[in-house]
Amino acid sequence: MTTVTATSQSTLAERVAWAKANLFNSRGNSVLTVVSLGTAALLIFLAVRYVLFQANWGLVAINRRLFFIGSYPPDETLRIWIAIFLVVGLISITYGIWSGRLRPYLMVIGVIAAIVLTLGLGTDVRIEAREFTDVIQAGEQTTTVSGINNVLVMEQGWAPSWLYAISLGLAVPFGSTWLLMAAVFATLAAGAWVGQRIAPWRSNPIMLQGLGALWVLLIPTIVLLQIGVSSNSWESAFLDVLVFVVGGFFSFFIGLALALGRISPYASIRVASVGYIEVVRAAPLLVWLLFATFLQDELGPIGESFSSIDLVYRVMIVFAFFGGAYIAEVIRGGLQSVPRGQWEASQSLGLSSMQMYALIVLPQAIRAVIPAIIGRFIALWKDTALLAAISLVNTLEKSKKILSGQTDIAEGAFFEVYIVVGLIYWAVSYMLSRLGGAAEARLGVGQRR
Amino acid sequence: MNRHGRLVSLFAVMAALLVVFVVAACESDDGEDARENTLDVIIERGNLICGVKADTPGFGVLNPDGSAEGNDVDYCRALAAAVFGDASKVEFKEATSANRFELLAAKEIDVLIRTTTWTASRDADLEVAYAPTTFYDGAGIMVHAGSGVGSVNELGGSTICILDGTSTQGAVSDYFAENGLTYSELTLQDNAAIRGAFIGGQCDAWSSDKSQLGGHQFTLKSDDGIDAVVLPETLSKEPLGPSVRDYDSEWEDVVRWVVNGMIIAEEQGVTSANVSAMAANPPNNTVARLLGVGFDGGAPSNLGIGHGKIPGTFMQSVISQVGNYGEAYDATLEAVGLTRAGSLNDSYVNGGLIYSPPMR
Amino acid sequence: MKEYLLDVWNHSNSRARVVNIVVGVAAALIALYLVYSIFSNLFDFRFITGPYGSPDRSSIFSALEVEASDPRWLGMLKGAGNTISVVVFAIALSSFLGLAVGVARLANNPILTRLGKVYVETFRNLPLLLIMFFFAFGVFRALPQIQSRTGIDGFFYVSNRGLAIPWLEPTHSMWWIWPLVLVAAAVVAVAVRRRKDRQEEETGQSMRGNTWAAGIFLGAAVVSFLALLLPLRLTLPDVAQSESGFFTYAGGNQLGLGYISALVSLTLYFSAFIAEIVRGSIQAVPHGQVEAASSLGFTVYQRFTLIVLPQALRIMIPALNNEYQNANKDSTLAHVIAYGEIVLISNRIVNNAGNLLQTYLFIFLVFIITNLIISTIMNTINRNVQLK
Repeated sequence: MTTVTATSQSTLAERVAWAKANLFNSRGNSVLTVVSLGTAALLIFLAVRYVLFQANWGLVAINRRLFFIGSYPPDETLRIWIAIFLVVGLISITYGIWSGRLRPYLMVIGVIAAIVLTLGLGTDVRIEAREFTDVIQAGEQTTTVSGINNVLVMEQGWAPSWLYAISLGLAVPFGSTWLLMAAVFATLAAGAWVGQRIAPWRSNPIMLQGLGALWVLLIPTIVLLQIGVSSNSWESAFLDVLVFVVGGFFSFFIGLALALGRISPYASIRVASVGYIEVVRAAPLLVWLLFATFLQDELGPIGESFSSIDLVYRVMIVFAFFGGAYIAEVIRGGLQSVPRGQWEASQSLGLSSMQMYALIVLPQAIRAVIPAIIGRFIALWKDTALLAAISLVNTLEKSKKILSGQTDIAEGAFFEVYIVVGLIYWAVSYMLSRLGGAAEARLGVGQRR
Repeated sequence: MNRHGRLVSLFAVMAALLVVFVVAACESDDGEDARENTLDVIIERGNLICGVKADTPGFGVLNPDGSAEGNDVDYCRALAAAVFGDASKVEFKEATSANRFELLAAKEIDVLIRTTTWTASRDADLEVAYAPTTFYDGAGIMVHAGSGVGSVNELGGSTICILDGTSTQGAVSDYFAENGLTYSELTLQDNAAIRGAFIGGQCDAWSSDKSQLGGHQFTLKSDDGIDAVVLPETLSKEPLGPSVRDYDSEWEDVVRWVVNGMIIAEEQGVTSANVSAMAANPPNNTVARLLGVGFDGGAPSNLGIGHGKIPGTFMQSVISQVGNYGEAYDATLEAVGLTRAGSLNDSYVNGGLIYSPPMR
Repeated sequence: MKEYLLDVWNHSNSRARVVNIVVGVAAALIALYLVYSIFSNLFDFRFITGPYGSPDRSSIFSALEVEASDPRWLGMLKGAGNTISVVVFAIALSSFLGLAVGVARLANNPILTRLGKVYVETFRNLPLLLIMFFFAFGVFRALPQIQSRTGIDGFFYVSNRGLAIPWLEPTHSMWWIWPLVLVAAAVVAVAVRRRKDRQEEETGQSMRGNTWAAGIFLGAAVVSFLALLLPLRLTLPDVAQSESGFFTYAGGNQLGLGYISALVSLTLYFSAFIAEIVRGSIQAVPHGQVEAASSLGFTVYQRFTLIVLPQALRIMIPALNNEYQNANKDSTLAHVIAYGEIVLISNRIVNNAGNLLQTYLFIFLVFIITNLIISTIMNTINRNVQLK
C-alpha cells in the first residue's frame, strides 16, 4: 500500500498531495472516497445527534448501580471494592514495570480523575412518585385508571447529560462514595510509580515468579472474597466478570490437559481426550447451559448431586469445561507448530518426557498460540451474555429488567440501555483483543513472512 | 527449585485451587438429599425461594433494585411468615411463562406463584400440585381505544400479541376457530416486549388474563398516555393459584392452608390491625383455631399442619405481616383497578367464589 | 514388591498397558454409567406422539409452521427445519458481506479501510445475543408501521411486523418433484462438464464444457417445469385491510420479527469474523503473485478474481468451515427472541412434558448432523481448490 503519512506538521500542499495520491488517484478510488466519506459523515452525524440531543441519559445515570452490581447487598460492596483495588493495583504495577514512560500515563489518569470526580457536582437525578388519575374513553365505554406514576427528574449542573452519565457511570457505579473512586485513581497512579521503582529487577526470576503467582492467586482471591454473600446476589456486570474469570481460568488448564491428552503415548488417553473434545464441541454452549440448568435426577445420583450445586457454580463449571475443549484445540495447533527437531533434540539430550514438555515443547507451543488463546477468552467473555437465557441476572438480563420493570421511566429507552450494555461487553473484549494484538506483535507470530 | 519441579508445583497449585473452588462451591451448596421434603429444605436453608412474575402490575413486579410487589408476591411473603414468622425471609426468582415448570421441577424454586392456570394436563403431566385458587380469571383481549373495536368478534384479520407458553394461546386459538375468525399471532417471551410491540403497532391486540390486562391498561395510560380498552368477552376459565411439586404433601399442606387461612381470616374479620387483639381474646372457636390459640381459656387445638415444623400460631404471623385475603387483594389488585366487589373473586358470602374449607 | 511395581512402571511397554487398562476401564465405566442412566430414562418415548400443544408461526416456510395438533416429534423436526432455514441464509449473506468488508479493509483507500475496521471491531467484540436483542427489540420497533406501506409498492414492504417479499407458491401437490429434477439435472450437468473438460485436456480441442452443462441444466429445468404443469407460481405481497380495519400482509411471504432479527444479527456478527479471515488469507498470498499478474497485463479485477482469490480460498476454507459451524450452533440464541428454532421448540416440550434427556439428545443429534453436513461440503470444496 502506498501510504504517505500526513502528520500535523505537514503543510497544506503536502496534505493535498497526500489526498491526491491516496484518495483521488483514479476514478474508481475517487468514487470510493466520496461514498465512504459520506457514509462516515452520516454515521458520525447520527451518533453525535443521538448522544447529545436524543438520548435519555438520566435513565442510565440513575440505574448505574444496577448495570454494574445489580442488587448486590449494599452493606457488602466493600468486598467488590477490595477486588477492584487488587485488580487495579496489580495491573498498574505490571504496567509500571514494563512501560518506559510514566508521565503521559499519569497525565491521562489525572485528567480522567479530574473530569470524573468533578463532573457530577451540582447535578442530581432522582425518581419522583406522583399520584395519577385519568379516564380512558372508547366509544360508550369509559374506564377510570388511577394509581402512582414515577417520573424521572434530572436537575442538570453545568455538564451535558451524557457527560454526566459517563462520569457517574465511571465514578460511583455502586452508588458508593466519591472517596473510593478517588482512591482507585490514586492506586492507578501509585501502582505504576511503584512498578517503575522496581522495574530494574524485572528480569529477576524471583520477582517474575512472585508477580506471576500474584496474578494467579488473584482469581481465587476474588472468588474467596465472595464467600458469605449468597451467589443469588451476584448480578449484572459483576456476575459476567466472575463467571468469565473463574470459567476462563480453569478452562485454560483443562484445555492444556486435554491437548496433552490428545498427543499422549497411551491410546486410551488419546481416545478419551478426542472423544471429550468432539462431544463438547458438537453442541452449542447454550444447549449445555440449558442442560446444566434443568438437569435434575435424569443422570442418577451424579445428576442429582450436580443439580444441587448453586446454579452460578454449575454455570462456571460448564464454562470451564466447554472453554477447555476449544482451548485444547488451540494448544494442539501450537504443539503441532513446534518443529519435530525440538522433540527429537530434547529426547536425545535424555530429558524425561515431563522435562521435555515443561522446558522445551510447551513454552514454544503456548507462545505460538497466545493470540489464539486470547481469542478464545474473548469468545468466552462474550458468551457470558448467554446467562441471560438461563434466568441468571447478568448485564444483559439486568438491562431487560430495567426496561420491563421501569416502564414508567424507561419505556422505549431500548437504545440507551442496550448501548450501555454493549459498551460494557465491548470494552472488555476490545481490550482483550488489543492485548492479543500486542502479544501477536511482540511474539512475531502471525506476521507475513 | 529446579525447572522440572516447577511444572509439578504448578499442577499442585492448580489442584489446590481446584479444591478451594470446590469448597467455595459447596459452601453454599444445598447439599440435601433431593428426596427430602421441601419444607425441611426451606427451614434448613433459612429462606423461601419463590418463583414469581417480574413484569405484571398487580400480580408480580420485580423491581430492578431487587424489591418486589404484587399479589403473588404477597402470597410468597405470607408463606415465609408462616414458616419463619418473618415475611422478609423470601427470595424472589423470576419465572417466565416458558420456563416456570422447568424451574419448579429443577428445584430452583420452592413454590410457583405466578398467575399459573390450574389445568388438567399440568396437574397430571407435569407433576404439579395446585393449592387453592387465589384469583379467578379469564383470558381477554385488549385493543387500542382508537381502533373502534367493541367486541372480540370484530377482531378478524388482526394480529394478536400473546405471551409464549401460556394457556392464553390455546384459549385464543379455540375461541377464534369456534367463531370462524382468522388472526395472526405474535408470540413473545416477556410482557415488556409485548408492551413495546403493542405500543409500536407490531400487533393490533394484546391477549392475556383479563386481570393482567387491567394492570397493563393502567401503566399504558399513566406511563405513555396510551388509551387501551379491554374487550368485554371472556375467552376462557383461568383459575390462578400457587403450585408446588407433586409428592411433597407436607409442604403442599402448608401452602394450601396459608391461602385457606387468609380466606377464613377475611370471613371472620381478622385483619392485620386486630390480629393481636383477636389472638389474645378470640371471639369464637373458628378464630381461635385459625390463630392457633385456645378459646375461652381452653388449650390451643393442634391442626398438625407442617407436622410441628412450623408453629401452630403461623396464621398470626401471616395475618399480622401480610394481612387477610381481602387486605392483600386491596393493597395490590384494587390498586391497579381490578375491582373486587361483585366479581368472581368476592367472598362466597357476597356471591363470589372465594371460599375456604373449614380449619378444624 | 515395591521394586517390582517400579519395574512395571519404568518399563515403557508394561506402563503403557497399565495406563491403558486403568484409563480405559475408567472411561468405559463413565460411559456405561451415562449410557445406563440415559437409557433407563430414555426408554420412555411415549411423549413424542403427544400433541405439541401451542402453535408457532415464526417460520418462513408455511410447511415448517408448528400446529398445536402436531405430534411432538413433528414439532421437533420442524424446529430443526427452522434452524436450517435461518442458518443457510445467514451463512450465504455473511459470506458475501464478509468478503466485501474483508476486501474493503485491504483497499488502497484509507477512509474505506478505516470504515471496514470500525465495522469489524464493532461487531466482533459484541455478544451475538446482545445484537439480537438490539435488533429484535430496538431497531425492529423503530421501523414504520404496516399501514404506511413503506417499500416498493406491490413488490416488497418493510414494517415493524416484518418484511413482505415475493415468494413462490406451489400450484399443486406434486410440486416437490420439480426441485428433485433440478438436483438430478445439476448432477448430470456436472458429470457432463467433467467429461468434456477431460476430453478437452486430452484432445486439446475446445469441447465447450460450461455451455454443455448450462444447456443441460436449463433445458431440463424448463422442460420439467412445463411438463409438471407449472408447479410453482410467483405471488406478490400486498398490504390488505380486514373488515374491522386491521392491516395484514396478503400474498408473498412475510418474514417475521424473530426470523429477520436472527438473520440480520447472525449475518452482521459472522460477517465481521469472515472479513478477518478473508483479509488474513488475502494478505497471506505472496505479493509476487500480484506483481507477476500485473506485469502480464491483468486488470485489477482480473488480478483479484483469477490470481489472488483462488489462492486465498485455499487458506480461507478451513477457517470458514469453523466459522460456519459456529454460525450453525449460535443460531440457537434466536430462541430468546421467539424464533421457533430447535431449542425453542424443544424447550416448550420440556416445559410441557418434562422429558429433558430425550429432547436434548435430539438437539445434539441435529447439531452433529448439520455440522457434519457443513464440514463435508467445505471439505469437498477444499479438496477441489487445493493444488493437485
